[in-house]
Amino acid sequence: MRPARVIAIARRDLALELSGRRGWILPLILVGLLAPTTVARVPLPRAPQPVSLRVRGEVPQAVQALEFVQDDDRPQLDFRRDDGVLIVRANGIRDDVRAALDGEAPALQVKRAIRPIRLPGRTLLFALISASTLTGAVSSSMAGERAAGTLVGLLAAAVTRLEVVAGKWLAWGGLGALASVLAACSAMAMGRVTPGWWLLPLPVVAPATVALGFWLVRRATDVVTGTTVSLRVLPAVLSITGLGAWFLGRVDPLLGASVPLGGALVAAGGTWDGLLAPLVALCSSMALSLACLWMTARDLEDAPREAPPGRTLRAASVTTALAAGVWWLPILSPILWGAAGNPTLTDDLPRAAGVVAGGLGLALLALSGAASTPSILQALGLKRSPDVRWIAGGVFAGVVLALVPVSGWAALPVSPSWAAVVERLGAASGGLALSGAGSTAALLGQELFFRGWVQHRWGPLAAVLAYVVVITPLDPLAGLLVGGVSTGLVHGGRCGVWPALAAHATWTVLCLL
Amino acid sequence: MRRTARALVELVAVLVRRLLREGMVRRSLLWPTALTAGTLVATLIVFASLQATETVGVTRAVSAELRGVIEAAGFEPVFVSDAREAVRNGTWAAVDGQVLWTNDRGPRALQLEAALREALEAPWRPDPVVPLPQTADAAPSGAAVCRLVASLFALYGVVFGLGMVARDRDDGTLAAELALPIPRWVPGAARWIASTLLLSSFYALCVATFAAIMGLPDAAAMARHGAAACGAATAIGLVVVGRAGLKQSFAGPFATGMGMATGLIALGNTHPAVGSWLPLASVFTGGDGWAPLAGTLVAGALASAIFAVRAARE
Repeated sequence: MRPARVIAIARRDLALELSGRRGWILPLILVGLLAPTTVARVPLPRAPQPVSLRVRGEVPQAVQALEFVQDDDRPQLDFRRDDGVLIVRANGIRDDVRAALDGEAPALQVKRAIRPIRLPGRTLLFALISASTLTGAVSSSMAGERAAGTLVGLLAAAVTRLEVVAGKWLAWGGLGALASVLAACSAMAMGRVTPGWWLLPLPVVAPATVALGFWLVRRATDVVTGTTVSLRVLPAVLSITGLGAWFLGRVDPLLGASVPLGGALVAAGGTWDGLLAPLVALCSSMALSLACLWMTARDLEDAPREAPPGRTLRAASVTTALAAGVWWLPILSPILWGAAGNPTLTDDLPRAAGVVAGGLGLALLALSGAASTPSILQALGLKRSPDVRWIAGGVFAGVVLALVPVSGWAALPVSPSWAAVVERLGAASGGLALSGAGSTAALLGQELFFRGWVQHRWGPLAAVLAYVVVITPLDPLAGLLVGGVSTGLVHGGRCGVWPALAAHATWTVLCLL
Repeated sequence: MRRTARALVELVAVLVRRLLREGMVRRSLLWPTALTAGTLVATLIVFASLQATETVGVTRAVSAELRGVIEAAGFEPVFVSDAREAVRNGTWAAVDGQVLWTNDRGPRALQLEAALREALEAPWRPDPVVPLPQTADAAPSGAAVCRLVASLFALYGVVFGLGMVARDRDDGTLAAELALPIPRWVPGAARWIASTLLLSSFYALCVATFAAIMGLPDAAAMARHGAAACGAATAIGLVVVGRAGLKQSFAGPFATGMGMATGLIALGNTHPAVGSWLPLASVFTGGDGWAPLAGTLVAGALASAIFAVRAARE
């Protein structure tokens, strides 16, 4: 690693972004966000305001004597006597009420045992703001160069991959570190914060975030891709590692400090006393930075273009598993409320919304898959003109399916606790017994995905099997019949998904009638 | 006119396809829904599996009779050396002779307290009411999640609006589009429509999912607010990109766009009466969402016009 070259690359990166009139925007935004955090005085916590207490029934004198107690027909505390014992109906009892009821000699005392919680101070914000403002720079620095074709030139120059990555890291990580240190110095000069060991991990948060960002977007081929990745992943990583470090730090500060990135973030907030924890936080985040930089340099030239999913069994299985998740999640999840102790919610939640979500999810999944082919419409089976004879065949098949209900003929034997799953999947399979929106979503989603995308990509057998696995896993014979008829119409007609859509629509309309 | 309309449709289709081809973009669009819904489902599964028994720490000083009372009330007594320390270290509740240590003041703790008071023949005892939330109680939480997701999709909107122009300018695609015999606002409008369509569709998936698993006060209105936010954010991206490309100054316009989008969202939070009329600002306010949706169309038209004047100028 040659420092002069690393610095040259850093200067080049900074010059590209920070030169000219527009070059002032990023520093100005950094200053605009950091200045209020630096200057503002932290307001003193307000004393808790007294809250009124609504009571009813045989309220004891000691409770009546409390402040802000008022009789009300919608009470928080409802008093009555039962065999000489005072019963207090409530879903929570305040400590002052409990003390009033207990009197001098309580039979049972209820006490809290809270471990004092130390929260990070405002200096955490210096690190957080400096790190999060660099999302755009991180994305454009790597993915932008790749998209613009300048990365090839850079890699062809007499510099190593590691020097390229280190130079870019120095530019943006350095800017973030500088911003956070300047903010800290200003706050100290104005007396808003006092110096401490928190200064040690403060400057490593932004560089570690930048290094992680580079690694995340190392294969991104354009800035949109890179930015969407860094935009969704970096805040999540900062929050999760920060919270994780804070919780672990309650057990032992060194444990919390050893969490890369999060440890430095929490330590920068002055959460832990002493030198050791900030030092460990500094080291863990630096180690993360070095690892990310090394892995980014290793993969720098590896930018595979997204290829359409292969025609392999594995690709078909992954697609089917995704479809199962998309279909089952909104349809079956409400059952969990009942299992968690609130069956009313399970019964009250709108079922049609689940089918709408499932159908929309399948349609979007089909669209996403088809986007990687030369023609979306062809991949979804919508390109060809409808053939009237096959449409009529589809309508006939729909009438037959409606007249001969196949559901439940050979359902798999399941335990009674699974009855709700069987019933919900069965009702959602054709969008039957649901509103127009639910039925339409089921119709479009299922046909575009199974008879459109899956059949186009993996053939009719895969389309039928995927339909059975996703839509009728507990009633496979019904799935085989319905899926087989629809797939057969599409395969035989060679005029796209239109006959299957006609069959499904006829079946649904007749069932709704 | 017909040629312009056809060019617009073709460009929108191409741009949607180009965005969807990128695996990272696809994952980004699915991520918020998968993360929020997945977390809720995982929480429910954990809650369902844990609700059977609650552990209560008891010291050796607690009599066998009292331990039996605790067990009969549906709790599992386990021995601890120090009740106070056990609760400090995370045990839900612990009993130490005549002291019940717990930081929970809810109905479940009241159940334990009632059982103990009855056994200790106290002059009073609580009779806990365990209110089960109805759909009307759960729906505001579902709405809160959808609003947060809408904010994230709005930030994606800024990225899409800004990035699509910057990327296409640098790889020459934009120059090719501007050379076509069509009005100069068409490439901008196509980018606005493509981004808004795509983001709104994936946001609608989030709204429908949460309407199904948590309930929403008005799912259609929520989807309209989200679509308005996505459209307005894309318009902001198209406006701030100006003449920026990737070879120079992407980070500055990006930070400006993010600042404007989050500023509008904050405006809606602080001034709901104003925010409910404006796209993006309306995300955290009530209303039926029609006014912001109309507003986002105006914003889209304005952004396309500004794009034609500024960004498309070579």
